[in-house]
Amino acid sequence: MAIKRVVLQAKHPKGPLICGSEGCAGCSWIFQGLSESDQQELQKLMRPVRYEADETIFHEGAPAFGFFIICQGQVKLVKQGSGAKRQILKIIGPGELLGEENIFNGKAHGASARTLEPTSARFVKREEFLDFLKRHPQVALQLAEKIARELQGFQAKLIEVAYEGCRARLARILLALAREYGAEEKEGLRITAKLTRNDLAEMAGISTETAIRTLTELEERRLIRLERRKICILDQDGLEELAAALPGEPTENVL
Amino acid sequence: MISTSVQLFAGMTPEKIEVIRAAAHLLEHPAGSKIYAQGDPTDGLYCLCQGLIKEISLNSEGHLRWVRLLGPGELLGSGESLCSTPQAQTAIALRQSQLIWLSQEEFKNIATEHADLLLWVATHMAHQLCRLRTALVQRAYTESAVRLTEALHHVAKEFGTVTERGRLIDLDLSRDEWAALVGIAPETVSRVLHQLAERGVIELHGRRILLLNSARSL
Repeated sequence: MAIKRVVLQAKHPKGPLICGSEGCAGCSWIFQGLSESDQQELQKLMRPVRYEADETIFHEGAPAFGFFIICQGQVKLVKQGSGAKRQILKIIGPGELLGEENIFNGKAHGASARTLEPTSARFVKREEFLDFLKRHPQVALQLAEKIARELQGFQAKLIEVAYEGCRARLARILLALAREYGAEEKEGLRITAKLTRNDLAEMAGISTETAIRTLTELEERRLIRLERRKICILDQDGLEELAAALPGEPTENVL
Repeated sequence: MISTSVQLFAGMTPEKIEVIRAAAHLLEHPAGSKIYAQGDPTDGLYCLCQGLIKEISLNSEGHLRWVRLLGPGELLGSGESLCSTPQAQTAIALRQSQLIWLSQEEFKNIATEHADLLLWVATHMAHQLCRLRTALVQRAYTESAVRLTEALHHVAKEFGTVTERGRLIDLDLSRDEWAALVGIAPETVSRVLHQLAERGVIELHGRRILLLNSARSL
């Protein structure tokens, strides 16, 4: 069986490098179009923060005072369901915003954020950023567009959870992860995000047992290869066939 | 005449409301009329002042997959307007409805000059995002029967009419539409509704559902 290798394009163009953090490729695209002096003004609002792997940045329900821009590392945003059930809403990587909805909701965090690996970020206070937004409508416009895209993405996910089977949901998550965090290798496309089987189950909204069983089935069909916390996609076309693209494929990160 | 007292404009200064008032158009939609259809080019931002609207969408095979009910204070078409994408849903008035409409051009013009308007729209969308995320977790892990029962309580509370015996849901919603609203199969809707009726939680009168007072403690 021929192994297909396809380089997937990351969906999120990077914005200007404002934070000045070493190794950071650029901040969110919502900051595109800012002049150098505006970027400097924004930089003054940013406070550097660092977290170890598996560290909680904020808890669901805790008061929210602002948002974060991730410079390095990866963070999972998790919402608690009833009992011990949890749903991973998205994985947030370098250049992306974390908790930006709090700029407008401004009360409590609607989900918990926990690092997947050592993470450096910039924290921006809500009131200071709101003041900045009022003086920079193009950033306000781009931020509103980002939230609008995320809304469309979560609407598609709601439909997916109701009407799609476990296999399609898991296949779609693997493809989306590869698009965001895929590294091309000899055999295929390796997902670099360090996710456990339980994490994948919580992203798909299925039980861990079902996730393990489905992943094993995908491996037996030589669509993927499983390694400890990593997964390599061997046959992207085959996986896409299983996933059957959703109408209105999300254009914002709602992994 | 656009009322400034509507909850819709909470948090906006009188000056900003005046800017919107000057550019906005007031629309009246009788029950059953279509405001826009899925696939239509986006034509601006709608704000519901009075009435009730259902938003529906079909998948490529023509199956109903999305239903949302919107009451006063909700925005329609904001995402499509900001992203300049075609309407993702069809919006139909379930009751006589009054809306404020800002054309795409007017919305963009005001938005580029008045960041407050954008922040106001973004605030609405951020609240909606939080509701969607909560619904996602609920949909993934809560049983169909429980979700439908919770939806009945929610719709009765938000859009129902108080009667002596309970809250009456007098909306023109088919079983398929209840199914898409909750994200379950239409057969499950029929089964659960009949079970609830047998248990004395609801009474079914065609498409009208009476949530009995005794059900409140369930």
